[in-house]
Amino acid sequence: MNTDLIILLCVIPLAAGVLNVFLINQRAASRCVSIASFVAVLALSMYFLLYTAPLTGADSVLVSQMGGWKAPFGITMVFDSLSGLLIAAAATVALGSYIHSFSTLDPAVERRYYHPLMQMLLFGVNMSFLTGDLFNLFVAFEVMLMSSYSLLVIGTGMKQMRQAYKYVLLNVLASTIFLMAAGMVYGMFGTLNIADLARIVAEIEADPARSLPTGFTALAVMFLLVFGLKGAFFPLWFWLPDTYYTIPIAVAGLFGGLLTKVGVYTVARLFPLIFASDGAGGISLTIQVILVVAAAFTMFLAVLGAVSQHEVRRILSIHVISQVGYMVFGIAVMSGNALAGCAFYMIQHMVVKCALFLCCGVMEKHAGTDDLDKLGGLLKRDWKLGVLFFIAAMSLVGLPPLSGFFGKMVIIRSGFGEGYWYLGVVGLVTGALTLLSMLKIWSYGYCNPTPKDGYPVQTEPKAVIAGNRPAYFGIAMLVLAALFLGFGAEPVYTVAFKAGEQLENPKAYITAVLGDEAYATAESLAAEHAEIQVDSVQGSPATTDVRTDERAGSPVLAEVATHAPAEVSP
Amino acid sequence: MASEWIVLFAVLAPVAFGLLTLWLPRGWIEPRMVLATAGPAIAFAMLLNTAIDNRSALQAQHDYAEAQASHNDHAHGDEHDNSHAAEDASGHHGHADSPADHHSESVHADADAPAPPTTGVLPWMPSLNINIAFLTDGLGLFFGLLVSGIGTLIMLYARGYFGRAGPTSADDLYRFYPTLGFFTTAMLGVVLADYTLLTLLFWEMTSISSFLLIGWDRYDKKAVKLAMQAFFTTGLGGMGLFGGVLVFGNATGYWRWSEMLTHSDELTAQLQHVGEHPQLLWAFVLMFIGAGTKSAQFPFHYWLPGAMAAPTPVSAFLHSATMVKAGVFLVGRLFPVFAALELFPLVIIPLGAVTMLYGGVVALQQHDLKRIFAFTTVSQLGLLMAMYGVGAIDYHGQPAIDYDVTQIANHALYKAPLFIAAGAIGHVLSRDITQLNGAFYKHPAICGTMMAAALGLAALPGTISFQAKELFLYGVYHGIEAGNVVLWIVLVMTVLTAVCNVAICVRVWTTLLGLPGGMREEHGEPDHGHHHEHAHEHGLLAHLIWLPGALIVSLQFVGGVFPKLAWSRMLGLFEQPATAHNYFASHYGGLPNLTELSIGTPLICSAIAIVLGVIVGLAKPLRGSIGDFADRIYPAMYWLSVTGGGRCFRLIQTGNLKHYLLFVLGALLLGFTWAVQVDLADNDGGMLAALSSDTAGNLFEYWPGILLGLIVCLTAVLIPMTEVRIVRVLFLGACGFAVVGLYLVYQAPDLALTQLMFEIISVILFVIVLRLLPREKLHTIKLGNKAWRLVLSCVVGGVFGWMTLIAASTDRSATNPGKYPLGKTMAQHSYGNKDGLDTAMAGADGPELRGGGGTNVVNVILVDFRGFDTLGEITVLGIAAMGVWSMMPHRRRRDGRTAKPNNTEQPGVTA
Repeated sequence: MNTDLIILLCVIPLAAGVLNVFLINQRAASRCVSIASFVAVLALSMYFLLYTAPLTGADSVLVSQMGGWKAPFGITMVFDSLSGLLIAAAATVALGSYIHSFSTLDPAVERRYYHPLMQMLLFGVNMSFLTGDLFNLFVAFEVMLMSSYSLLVIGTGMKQMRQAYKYVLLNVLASTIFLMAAGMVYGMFGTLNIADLARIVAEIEADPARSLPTGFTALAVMFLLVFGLKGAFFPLWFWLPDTYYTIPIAVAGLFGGLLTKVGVYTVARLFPLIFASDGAGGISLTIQVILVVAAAFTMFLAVLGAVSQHEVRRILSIHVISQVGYMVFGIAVMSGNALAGCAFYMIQHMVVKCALFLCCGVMEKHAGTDDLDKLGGLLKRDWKLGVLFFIAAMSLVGLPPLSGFFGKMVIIRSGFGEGYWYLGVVGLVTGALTLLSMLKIWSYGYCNPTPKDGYPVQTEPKAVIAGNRPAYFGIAMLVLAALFLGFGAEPVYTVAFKAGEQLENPKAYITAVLGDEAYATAESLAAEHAEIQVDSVQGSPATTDVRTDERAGSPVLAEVATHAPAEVSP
Repeated sequence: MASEWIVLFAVLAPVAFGLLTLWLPRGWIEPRMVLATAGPAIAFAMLLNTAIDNRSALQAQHDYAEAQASHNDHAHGDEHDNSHAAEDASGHHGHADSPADHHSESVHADADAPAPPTTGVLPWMPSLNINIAFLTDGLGLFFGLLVSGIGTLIMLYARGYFGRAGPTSADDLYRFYPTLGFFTTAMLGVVLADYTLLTLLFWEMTSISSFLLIGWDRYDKKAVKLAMQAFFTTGLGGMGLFGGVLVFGNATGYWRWSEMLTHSDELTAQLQHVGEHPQLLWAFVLMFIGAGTKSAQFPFHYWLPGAMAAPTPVSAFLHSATMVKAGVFLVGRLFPVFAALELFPLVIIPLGAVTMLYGGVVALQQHDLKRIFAFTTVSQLGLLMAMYGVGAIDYHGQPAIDYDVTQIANHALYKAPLFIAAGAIGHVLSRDITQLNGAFYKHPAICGTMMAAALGLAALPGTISFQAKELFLYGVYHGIEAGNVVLWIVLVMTVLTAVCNVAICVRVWTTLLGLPGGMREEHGEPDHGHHHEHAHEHGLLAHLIWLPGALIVSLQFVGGVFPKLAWSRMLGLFEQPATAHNYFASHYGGLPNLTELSIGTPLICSAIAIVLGVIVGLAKPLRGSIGDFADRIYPAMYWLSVTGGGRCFRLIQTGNLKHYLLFVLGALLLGFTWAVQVDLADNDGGMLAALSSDTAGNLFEYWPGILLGLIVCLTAVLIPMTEVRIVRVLFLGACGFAVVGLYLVYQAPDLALTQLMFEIISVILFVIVLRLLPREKLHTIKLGNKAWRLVLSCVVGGVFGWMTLIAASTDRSATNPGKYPLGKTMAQHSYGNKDGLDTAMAGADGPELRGGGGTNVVNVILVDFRGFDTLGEITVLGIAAMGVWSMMPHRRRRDGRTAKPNNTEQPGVTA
C-alpha cells in the first residue's frame, strides 16, 4: 500500500470543509458532504488499522513525508496504532454528534458555517493525531482551536461569549507557551521532528560521555503545562467546566469527546518518546512525579466537583476532567500496558462521553432544562432514551462488561503492578463517586416523580420523540459503539496493546520515520569525520539527499556518508 | 467434568427466557409466567445434572484411587462416607503441572490440595484474563442450585404477588420478569465463574439488577433514593473487590479461582509470612471490603433494610436468599486459602459478631414485617461471616469449620418463606405487625407459612436451623477450647442474638394467633406500610402468593426431622473439602437432632436462648420502635461528597478568570522552580550558569537591542494602566514597532518586514473599529492593590527570557552532532537545479533530485519544505473569518434571506 494515503485522513475533512463553505445555504447537500467525509475518515482509519494489524516493527507504522522531503527536513505524518485508534474514535464521535445536531441545532445557527467548522475541527484533530513534527503539531492545534473558538461562539449568546472568552484566553496562553517551547526545542536540538528528537535523546542517554542539554527538564515542564492545559489536567482545567455549559449540545458532545483527548494524546506521544523516556534518570522521575500528582488530583478533585453539581451538563463536563485523570494515570505509570490502557480508555471515553452529552441534549428537548431539581420522570416519557443513557452512564462508571471497565482495569492493574498503588486506590474511589454522580442524573432525571407544575417547557413526549429521530440515531450509534468496545474489547485491545508497545519501545516509530539503521550508521560515520561537517553552503561537498526515496532513501545517505571523505580530502 | 457449554447455557437461560417474555403481548400473563419460570427451572435441572455428573465422576475416580491405594498401601483404609471420600479422591485428578502434584508423592492423599472441578475454557478476552470457564465445585454448585431453585419459585410467586387484576400488574410483570431473569443470570455467574474477573463482572451485574429492582417504583422519591443508597454502597464494595482481584492477580499471576485453589499450599505458605507478601494481605482486605458491603456487614448494613423498598419477591430472592449471600460466598471461596492469614479471623469474627448482635437487637425494635426480617437477615449474615472466621481457628490441627453450606442453606430456607409470607400478608392486610393481631384466622395459609418459617428463625428443634445454630455454637465452643478465650464473648453474643430471634418468633406466633401477649396497635399511629391496590384473586393461581413459601419452608422440617436424609441426599453433597475432616461427625456421631442430642455447652446455650427468648418476646417494655443509627451513614457520605466535595472543588474553580490565570502561571512557576532544583542537583546548575554565560554577556553588549527591549517592556506594562482605548492601541503599536526594530537590529529583515506590515494593519484596523464601540470606562490596573499581578507577569516573563537564553546558548553541535544541520541543509536545497551548487547535488543524486526552486530560503521553507504548515495556517485564517462571521449578531432577516454582509469581516482582527 502506498503509505502516502494516510494524508487522506487530513485531506478529506479539509476538502469537505472547503466544499461546505460554498454549500452554506444548501443544508441537505452540506449534510451529505459532511457525513460522507466522516464516514470516509472512519472507514479509512479502520482500513489502515486492519492493514497494519498483522505487521510488526517499523512496517506497522505508516509514514508519509510531506512534499517528499525526507525527515527531519520536511514535515512527516505518522500513522501508528495509537493515532489510528484515536482517529477512528474521533470520526465516530464526530459522526454521532453531527447526526444528533440535525434535530437539536437551531437551523439559523446551522447556517453560520457550522458544517465547514465541524470539518475543520476534525481536520485539526486528525492532523494533531497524525503529525510527527512539533511545529506542525502547533499548527494542527491552531486549526483545531480556531475551529473550536468559532464553534463555541456559534449562535452568539451573551453567556456563551463570556465563557468562550475564558476558554480562548487560556488556550491562547497555552498556544503562546507552546510556540516558545517549540522554538526552544529547535534551539536546543536543531530539529523539530518528533522521531528525530526521540533519536537524539535516546542517543545522548545511551552515551555516558554526553548529557542532555541544560534546561531540558524545564522544557519538559513547559510542554507538560501546555498539553496539560489542553488536556485539562489538575491545576489547569479551568477553561473546561464553564465552557461546555453554554454551547449547543451537539458541539458540547463533540468537544467533550475530542478536545481534551488531543492534549492527553500529545502527552502520551511526546513524553514516553522524548521527555520522560527511560534512562533519563532524574528527568523521567521529575516528570513522573508531576504526572502522578496531576493524575491523582485530576481524578479525585474533579469527581468531587462533578458529584456536587445540579445540572446535567455541568456534571458531565466536569466528569470529562475526572476521566482525563485516569488517562494521566496510565501515562504516569508509563509501562506498555498502562499506555495501552490509556489508549483504550481515551477512545472509549470519547464515545461514551459524547453519547452522554447527546442524551442530555434530548433531555433538554423534553424538559427545556438540564437542572436536576426541575427534572424527573423522564423514563415515563421516553424509556428508550433512558436505556441509552443508562448503558452509557454505566460504561462511564466502568461496570463490567461495559467499555469503561476494560480501560480502567488495565490502567489500575498496571498501576498496582508498578507500585503506584495509591493511584490505584484513588482510581477505585473515583469510580465509586462516578457511580454516585451518574446515579444522581438517573435518579433525579429519569426516575422520581415528574415535577408538580411540569417542566419549564411544556412538550408533548411523542412530538419530541418524533421530532428528534436523528438525535436518537446519533446516540444509538455511539452507544452501540460503546457496547462494541465493551463486549469486543479483545480485538480493540489487540490494537491498543500494540499502541502501548509502540509507545514504550519507540524504535519502530523512529526507524519508520527516519529510515532504517542506515540513518544511524550515517550518523556515526559523520561523527567520526567531524571535520567534513557542512560548514558553509559553498564549501559543502556533502551533496546529501534530503528527499525521500521510497525504495532506497536511506542507503543513499549511507552511500553519501561513505563516499564523502574521499571527495573532500583535497 | 461438566461441559462449559452446558454451564454457560444454564447461566444464561434465565436472562434469555426473561427477554423472550418481552415478545409476548402484555396481556398474556400466564404464558409469560411459564416462560419466565422455565429459565431458572432449566438452569436448575442442568446444574443438578452437573452436580450428579461431578459426583459420579468423583466416585469413579475415588474407586480407582481406592483400588490404587489399597494396592500400594494396605494401611490406607479409612472409612469415608461417599462425598467425603469423593473429595479426597479428587486430589488425584488435577492439572499435571500443579504444585499439588509435586507434593502428593510424599504426602497422604488427604493432604493433597484437591483439584477443583473446572469446565473447559471458552476464550473471550484472553489478553485481559477474562475468559468463560466455570468452577463447579460444591460451594459453587450449591449456590447455583439455591439461586436457580428459589428463582424458579420466585418467578411463580411474582405472578401471585403482582396479581392479574391490578391496573399496572401486566406492565409490572412485563418489566419484572426480564429484570429478575437478568439478576438470576448474574447471580449464577457470580457463584459459578472460574475467572476472578468474570466473577467481578457478574458481581457488578447483580448490583445493577438490585438497583433496578429496589427502585422498582421509579416515580417514588424514597424508593429511588434507597436504590441509589444500595447501589452506591455495594458499588463502593465492588470497587474494593475489583482492586482486590487485580492485586491478587498481579501478586500471584492467578486469574482463576481454580488456580488459586490448586496452589493453596504455596499460597498458604506465603500467607503465613504475609509480612513478605503484603500484596496478598491487601488483596484480601480489598476483596473483603467487597464481600462485607455486599453481605451487609456492620456498619455498611444500612442498605439492606433500605432495600426493602423493592417488591417483596425481590426482597425474598435478592435481599435475603441469594444476592446478599454473595459476600458470604466470596469469603467461602477465599476460605481454603486465606484462612491461613492471621488476620482472617481477627477481622471477620468481630465484624460478623457485631453485625449479628446489632441486627438482632434492631430487628426486635421494628414493627414493619419486612424491616424485622431485613434486620434478622443482617444478623444472620453476620453469623455466617463469623462462622468462616471461627472456621479459620485451628482446632486439633484442623480448621474448625463445619457444614458451612448447611448454614447458608438454612438461612435461605426460612428467610425466603418469611418474606414471601410477609409480602402476601402485606397484600391482603398490612405489613405492620401491630395491625395483624389474629390475622391467622382470616388468612390461615399465609400466616401458617409465616409461623412455620418463624420456627426456623427461632432455630427450634426439628428444623435445619436448629442444627445449624448448634453447629455454629460448637464451632465457637471449640474455638474456646483451643485456647481462644475471647470467643466467650462471641458465644454470649450468639446467645443474645438467638434470644432476639426467638423473641421475634414468639411475637409472630402470639400476634397472628391473637393470643394474649401479641402485638397490638397501641399508639394509633398510621400505617406506613404499602397499601397495594391489588384486587383479591381466587383460584389456583391466587395461591401462588404463599405456595412457594410453604414449599421452601417444608424443606426446613424435612431436614430437621430427618437429618441423615438431609445430609446424604441434600446438603452434604456440596460441603467443602475442609469439611472432609468433619470433627463434629467424628466426635459426636452426626448432626445434632432431636434423637441424638448430646448434652454440652452448646445445647445449654440453645436452651437458655429459647427460654430467655420467650420472656423477651412477651415482655411489653421492649416493643418500642427505634431506628437504626446507621441510616445516617449514607446521608453523611452523600453530604460529604456532594457538599464537601463541591466546596473543595470550588476552592479552585472560582469562576474568576484572574484566579485561573494565577493558578496556571503559578503551576508553571512551581514546575519551573522544581526543574531548576533538579538541574542544580543533577547538572551542577547549568541553568543558573547560563545566566552568566558568554551568550548572555554578548547580549548585553549590544545596546540598541537592550534599549528596544526596554521600550517593549515599558509599553507592555503601560497598556493595562491607561484608561483611554486609543492610547492603549497606540501603546500596542509602539510595542510592536519596537519589536520590528529588534528584528532589524538582529538582522532579520524579512521578519521585520512582515511584522511591520502586521503592525500597521492592526493599528489602523483597531482605530477604525474602536470608533464604532460605545464609550465606556475601561478597567484599569492600579499598581497599589494589584501589584502581585505585575510581579507575577514579570516573573513569568523572566522565566521565558531565561529559558530562551538557555535554548539559544545550547551548543547544538554537541546535542545533535548530525552531518546535516537542518537550517543549512535547507538553505542548500532551496535553489533547485539552477546554479552551480545544484549541479553538484544532481551529480550526487541523479536526475531525480530537485531543489525548492526558489531563491529565498524563507520562502522555500514556507511554501515547500514546510508547505503543509502554511496550508494549516491559511486554513486557520479562513476558519477565523468564518468564526467572526458566525459571531456577528442579526446578520439575517426574519424571513431567513441573507443580508449582504458588510466589510467588517476581516480575519486580521482575530488573527
